[in-house]
Order: sequence, then C-alpha cells, then structure tokens
Amino acid sequence: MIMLGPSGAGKTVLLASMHKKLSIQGEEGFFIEVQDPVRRQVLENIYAEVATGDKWPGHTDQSDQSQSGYEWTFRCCVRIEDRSIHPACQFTYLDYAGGKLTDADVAGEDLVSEAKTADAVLGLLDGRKIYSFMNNNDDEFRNLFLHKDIPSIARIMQSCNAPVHFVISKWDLLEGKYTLGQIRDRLLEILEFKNLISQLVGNTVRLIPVSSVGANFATLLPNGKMQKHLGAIPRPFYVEVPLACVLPDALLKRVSDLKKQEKEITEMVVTAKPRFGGFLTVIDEFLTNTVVKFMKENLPENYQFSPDVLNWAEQKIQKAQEQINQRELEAAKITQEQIVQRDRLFKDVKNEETALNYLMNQFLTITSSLDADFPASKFH
Amino acid sequence: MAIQAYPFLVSRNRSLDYRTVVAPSFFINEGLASLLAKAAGGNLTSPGHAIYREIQGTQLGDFTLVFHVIEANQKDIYPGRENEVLTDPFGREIFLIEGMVFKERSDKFVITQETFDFTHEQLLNSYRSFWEDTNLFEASVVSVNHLDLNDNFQSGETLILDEVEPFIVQRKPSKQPSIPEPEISDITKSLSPEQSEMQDILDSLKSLLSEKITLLLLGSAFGVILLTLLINKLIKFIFR
Repeated sequence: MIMLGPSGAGKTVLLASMHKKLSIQGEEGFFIEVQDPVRRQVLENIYAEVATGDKWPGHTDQSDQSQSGYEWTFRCCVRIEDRSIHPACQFTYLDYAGGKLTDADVAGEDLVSEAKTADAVLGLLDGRKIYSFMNNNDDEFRNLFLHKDIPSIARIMQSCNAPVHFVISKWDLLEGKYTLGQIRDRLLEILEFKNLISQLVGNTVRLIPVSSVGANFATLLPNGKMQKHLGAIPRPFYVEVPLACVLPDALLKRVSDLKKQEKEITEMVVTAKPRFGGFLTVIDEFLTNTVVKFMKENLPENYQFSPDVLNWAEQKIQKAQEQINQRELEAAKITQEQIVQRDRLFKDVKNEETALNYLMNQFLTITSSLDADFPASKFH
Repeated sequence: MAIQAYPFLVSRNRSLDYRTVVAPSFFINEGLASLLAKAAGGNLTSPGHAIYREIQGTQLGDFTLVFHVIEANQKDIYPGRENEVLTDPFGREIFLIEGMVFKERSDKFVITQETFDFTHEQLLNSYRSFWEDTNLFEASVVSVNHLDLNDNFQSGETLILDEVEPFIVQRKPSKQPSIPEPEISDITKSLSPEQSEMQDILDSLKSLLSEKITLLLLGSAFGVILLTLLINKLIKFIFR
C-alpha cells in the first residue's frame, strides 16, 4: 500500500502510531509486527519522539542514507487462546519525503510507478490545512492545500487501478468544530477532487478521519505551531482503520476484476459461435459454478486465500451490488451476525488460512464501525 | 597544488520540501543537481565531524562529497534576529545540508572547521533568496564560486571524516527507438497500387469461393434430406 501525502501531512507519524497501537493484540483482535528489530526500533523511536518532549519528529530524509528506508514490511498475526501465534498476511507500506509528490522539480517518476502498481492507494489530506481551508483563513495553508496538495494527489490517483481511500490526518484539530459531512461537502467543491471522486464511481471510496495522537494532546497556537500538552498521553484515533479498509477492498477489487475477465472470456466464446447455444449454456454454467476455482487459480501469490475467503469475497461483491441503495442504512450498525462470526472464526484459528479468515472478518468489523460512527465517510 | 572545492547546499523553505539549492555549475548544466539531494542527508552531524561520500557512475565521472548537517538559524537569514532555529509550517526544524563537491576521489582531504565556516558564509545569500521565494512548485538551483583548498584553509580544527557507502548512480539504459510491428491494416496501407489490385482480386475470389462452398454445402444437405425422404417412402411402399 502507498500513502500519497504532502510534506508535513503526517505520513511517518501515522505509520509509527499505527505500529504502536497494533503492535500488541488488543480489541482489534490481531497485531502487526516488523520482523527486523532494527527497523522496529526506528518506528518506536519516532513514536517516542511524538509522545515525549516538546518537539515533533523531523522530516523524512529523502537521501538514500536514511536509516528508515522507504519500505516497511509488516506481518499481521493473530494470537489465540493457547498463546500460539498465527501469521495471517503481510503488507508493505511505502514511506517517502512528501516533496516527491508535490514539488514539480523533484517529483520522482518512481513514486508514480509505485502508486500505479500498488494494491491499495491512500491519499493523505493534511488536517491542519483542511482546518485553514474550512476556516477560510491562513492563506499559506489554504494555497498549499488547494493548489498543490489536492492536484498532486489527484493527478497520481487517477492513473491508479487499485482501490483508493482518503485519510484526513490530525483529526483532533477538526473534531468538534466540523463534522466529516461538512468537510466532505467542502472537499467536493474543489474541482480536481470532485472529478477524481466521479471517476471512481463503482469502487468503494472512503474518507477516513485519523489522529496519530488523539484529542487533548496538543493545541494549535496562533503562530500555527502545534504545542504538546505537558504530561499528556497520546491516544491514537482510528489509525488502524486505513489498514482495515485496504485489505478487504484490495481483495474485492482483484476478485471483481477477475470476474469481469472471466465474463469477457465467456462472452467471447458465445459471440464467436452463436449456433451452439445449448452447448455453450452448459459451458457457461460450468464456468459460473467454478468461478471460485478459476479465481483461486488466477489470483496472484499474494492473494492465494482459501476458498472460504474467496467465497466470502464473491458473496460480498454480489451483496454490494444488490444492496447498493441500502448501504448507508446497513452500515449504521455492526451486525450481531458479524460478532457471532468473529467468535466462531477466532475459535477456528489454527493455521495461516483460518487466521486470514478471521482477520478479514476483523477488518470488516472495523470498517463497519467507521461507517457507523461516520456515515459520511463513504463517497460511494 | 590547491584542490578545488565546489560548495553545495540542500535544504527546504516554507513551501518547498528538501532539494538542491546550490550546486556546481557543471552539475546544473548536466542535469545532475538533484543527485546532491539524494546523496547528502541524514541527521545532525556531531561537532568536529563531517560526512565523506563518493558519488560514482555519473555521466561526468565520479565525485566526492564532504558535507555536514546543521540547523538553519533565523539569525543567518535575518542578521540581528534572535538565535532561533528555522522551522517549516508544521514546526519541524529545518536543516542545512552544506558541503563541497570534489572532482577527485580521495579520503586524504584535510577539511577544517574554518573551511566549512567559509562555505557557510558563501551559501547564505543563496539560502536567503530561496527562503524568501514564494513559488509553491519549484525553485531554480544556483551555483557559487569554487574555493581553492590551499594553506589558508589548513589552520584550525581538522574534522574527522565519517565515510558512508558510495552513492552509485543508476543510469537509465539509453532508449533505442523501437520499431513497432505493423498491424495487418498497416501492411495493406503500405501496398503498391498493383499489389492492392491483386489483393482485391484475391479477396473477391475468397469471397466467391466461400459463397460457392456455402451453396454446395446447403445443396448437399438438401440432397441428403430429399434422399432420406425418398428412401423412407420406398421402404414404406415395399413393406406395405
């Protein structure tokens, strides 16, 4: 996954905060780990810098001397009652200096190609700049947001095939002052943003509010700087949600593409020899009945999930299509069914496959919570 | 003989992220200025130290960088102001990555703090202009005069050079103009008038032949059906 965000939007801090929150299995029911202890320490140091002292972590070093590097590989694991740990999946997060996205003369082609080949793309919108944009004050931030950040993000996103979501950082600054719905409406007044969202019809696109430090940790000073409160403890808010939205959506997108591909193949045969209708009907039925098998065989190695997961994904697509008009209503609550399913799946965890089944359900529960807490989070 | 050192500076201002601000003119002319921002960076350099790094594989050959990372200070930009570190709009401290490019590759350079102090003064004007530049998208890279590292720079504290692994330039393979395979329609377009005529005749023949075969097949099928019906009638007539 790749996070497209300008300099200072909080990409690295969000990464460190997500790692901090999910490094020990809690109510989310899973944990993530960076296997290289040196790299893990780098993330822990960044978070320590966020949580303590009066300074904020420095910029992401764009030289290749950077100890942190750009790629972070995480493993999602589930720890079950007998204390055994089962890895479920692995994902790579690409971090980089924000100027590569926004500054025309240093913008790297490598970032564009990384975004094009990513399985999921997140656009990070700087909450501090959104605050100025909503307030109609602070021209510096407003201009950067309107004329630099949004066009740069939209330009790259429109060339991506992967599912995309938008993340609003520094939500603690906006919470209680603006609703997500109000922000969403203002964002849609920006032509580039509106056009991009229109292009993405047919895919689930979310607006996810996050805060790496949570409420009451820092205050915005009149000079524009964020001052930490002495002794305050950060309480990261929703930092796990972008990840939870990414994996199911990436899988759904891949399955949906394969379905389209499979349909095209079937239609090609029908068009070529229309007289053999009866015979082709049999083939068609055969193909339809073996869609899951087909997908299983054609999915790339990263997506080699169990038939259960593929069936689940298949059903999810069908359900999404059938109930497109009832989405908001359905999203308003976490269903009892999901809770029951979670408990059942947790008991079933005994290997990588069952751990993934369980994890997918957990991700779905987290996204349902987002939909319930912030009904305006879904563009479509 | 004095060694020539070409000052460079990598930093950011309020709206533009870290980039090369000052580079040797031969780097600028060859489009290599951005290499400096990729090769020079890191955390604040410890006092008494500097970083030594080689750049290998550019179209102009190999080079050596000797640089340090220091905080950008307000009083450097606006003399008379307070001794306060410059920050970006988010309150993050801004660094100056300043140093010298050498055309030689050698770890025998003797670099003193005085050399860096001199270079720092040389670079400040350029940084001041960059700091005050309000362009949201780009800034031009400038060059300053080189200095000769002669005896004038050998006094004072000699810096310890911390060598880091060389920066190796990944040169893109030169693009050969590819000749696209012509599509069938393109081939037809490129035929001479005689060839085109011949092609048309062949197409007509194919079409005619195809029609004849279809008629022949239909006729045969009709014949078979008629024959079957006749045999059927004959059998019924014999066994009646």
